[in-house]
Amino acid sequence: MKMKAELDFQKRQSRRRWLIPGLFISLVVGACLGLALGSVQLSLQDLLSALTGSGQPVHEKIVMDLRLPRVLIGFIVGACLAASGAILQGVVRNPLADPGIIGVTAGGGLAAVLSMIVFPQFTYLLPAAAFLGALLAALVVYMLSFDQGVSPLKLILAGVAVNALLGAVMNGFMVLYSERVQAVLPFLSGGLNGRSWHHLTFVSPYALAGLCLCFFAIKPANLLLLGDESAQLLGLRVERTRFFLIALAALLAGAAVSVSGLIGFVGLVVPHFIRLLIGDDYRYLLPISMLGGGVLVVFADTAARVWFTPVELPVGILLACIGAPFFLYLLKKKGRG
Amino acid sequence: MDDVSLSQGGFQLSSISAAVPKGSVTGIIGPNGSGKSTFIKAAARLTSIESGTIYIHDIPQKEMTAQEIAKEIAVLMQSRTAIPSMTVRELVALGRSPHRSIWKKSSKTDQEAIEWALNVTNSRINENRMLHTLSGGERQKAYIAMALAQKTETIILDEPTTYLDIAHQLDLLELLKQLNKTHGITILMVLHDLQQAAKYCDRLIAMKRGQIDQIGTPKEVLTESFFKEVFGIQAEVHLDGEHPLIIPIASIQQQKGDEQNMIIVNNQVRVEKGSADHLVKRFNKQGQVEFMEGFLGMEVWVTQQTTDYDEVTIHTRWNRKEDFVNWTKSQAFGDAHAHGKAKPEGLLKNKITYYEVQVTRPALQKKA
Repeated sequence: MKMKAELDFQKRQSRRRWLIPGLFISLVVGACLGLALGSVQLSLQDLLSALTGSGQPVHEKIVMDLRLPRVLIGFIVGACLAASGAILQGVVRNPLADPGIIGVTAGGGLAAVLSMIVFPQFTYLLPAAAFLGALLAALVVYMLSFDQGVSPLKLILAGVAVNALLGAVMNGFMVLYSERVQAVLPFLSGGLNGRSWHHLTFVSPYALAGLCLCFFAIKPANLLLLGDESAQLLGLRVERTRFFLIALAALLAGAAVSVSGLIGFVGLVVPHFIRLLIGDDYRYLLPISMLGGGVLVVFADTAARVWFTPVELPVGILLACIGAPFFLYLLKKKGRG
Repeated sequence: MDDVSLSQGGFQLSSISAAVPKGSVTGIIGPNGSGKSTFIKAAARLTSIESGTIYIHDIPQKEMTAQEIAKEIAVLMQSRTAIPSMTVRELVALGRSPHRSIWKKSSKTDQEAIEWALNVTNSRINENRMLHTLSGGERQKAYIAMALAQKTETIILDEPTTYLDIAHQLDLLELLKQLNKTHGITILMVLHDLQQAAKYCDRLIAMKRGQIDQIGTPKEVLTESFFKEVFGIQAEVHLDGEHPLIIPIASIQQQKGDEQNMIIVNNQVRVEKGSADHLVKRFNKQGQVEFMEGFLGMEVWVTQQTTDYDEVTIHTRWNRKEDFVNWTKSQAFGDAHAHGKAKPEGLLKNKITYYEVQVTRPALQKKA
């Protein structure tokens, strides 16, 4: 018994040490693949010269204008979703929480559909609308669950209710205005098709601010693991902290949703999986989840782009197809172990 | 902590005043639901108090931030949510949070405090084990180590020995005793086991129905009459030096041949026609506030007379004749009845009679 416990600990420690450099290497590999693969295949040589600005103009244009922003957006989206999920799992003390529970996905989706119906000609409004919708939905969920403080259970229940309502409203609009919402369909299944620099410039201030603020979430999230009472007894202002963490998670997920559409499973599976590997300590969990989420989306997007050529599959569909069975496998395995 | 006094009006705790002297081991004892845990929660500001003041080192507690309190008092509550997936060392390190701002790395003082806490609780051998692989006793020690890592002068514990076997209970109490003796840590804890309270505490605060029954050394508090009054049991108390030895005999409720005296009071009231309802309402609202101890139950009859008045008869039951007699002499009694100066509206006449009743419950027959 004790031997096993010690062994677990050593495994965990070594994982903590290796995961960060390992993920960085994967990120580089994934980014190279993402930049090189596609309808025009580039060799490593071509890629390097395109990046340094000494290659063929066509290659340069493909890499710099089409593929690089997409890889960067993919990384940011994955990192934001995973960080958001990791934080929310701590806030509600439930390893099965994801950004969806605070309504950001449903809110972003509904706002996107509405913006398409009201201003069908201005597709560039969609990210901003989705971002605002996501934050607004999170605020509504928070306020609904507030009663002299927010309990994790109430938050989950309010989130489920708001999600159901927003989802129904969204579907209703899509049926009523089916001719106008074609443009929004790829958004709803979550993809990075045609994402370019202006998307990146729109989202990066929020996303980077959110990712930096995560640094301040580490200690409070760790204390909340002990339960509200114990956290307060260790000097934490529990309600204020919880509001900060939920707002931060909403900002991160809202930013991600605004450019990528509704990508599921990253926010749930990545932090959950990392937690199984290295434990609950947010000093490691949060940064490693961010990296892991980013790497996963970069890889998955490349795969979704390349596997079914000439059709590009939205990355959200691919992630759900891989993520769901993998998640079930984890649950089974954990149940046995 | 030099002096803690608090009074919380209303339901749970009322007019509590107690001081926990520095360097003492103080136990809070009392039956279930007597307000022991609430006492502790109020001291740690987990519940807000309605009135009164709690002082920590002569500073009113409500003027302190949660972090300042956490630097003075470490608290270990009984209820715990899910066990986090952490090692003992990581848990103990969380005890340093009050001393560390969000962006600072752990300092040498932090490391020393963690090492010390691990050592004194003998948790060093477990430091790298996950919490959920530990036994109940080991885990409790890990949580105590976390509280110790806060490096406070005072530690408050809510039933620290619950769910532990007798060996781990003693182990833990010895540890607390040693922390008190060698490191001068003030300890305030709720204990259910009175024998342990008698042995390990310098002072006891005995609680009963949300109030403090008595405060004193174990020898002063744990007497045979104390057990009868506070716990309702018959017990023998022997002295082993300073420490009382308690031998519980039987619950008084189960004792044989019980006798009970009571007073039944009938108050026949004439009221103006149609105002009986008003009187009954007033009685429901105000009639029960006095002498809760003696007041056992009531019954109201309303008779609508054909003549020009209605009649309300109120039967009440009292434990002791003195309670009733004292009540009839009180100002409030005068104000509420027809002969008083502030005679209530609609009241015409009171006729109060009482009977002394003795109820004898026959002894339970022992089966052969």
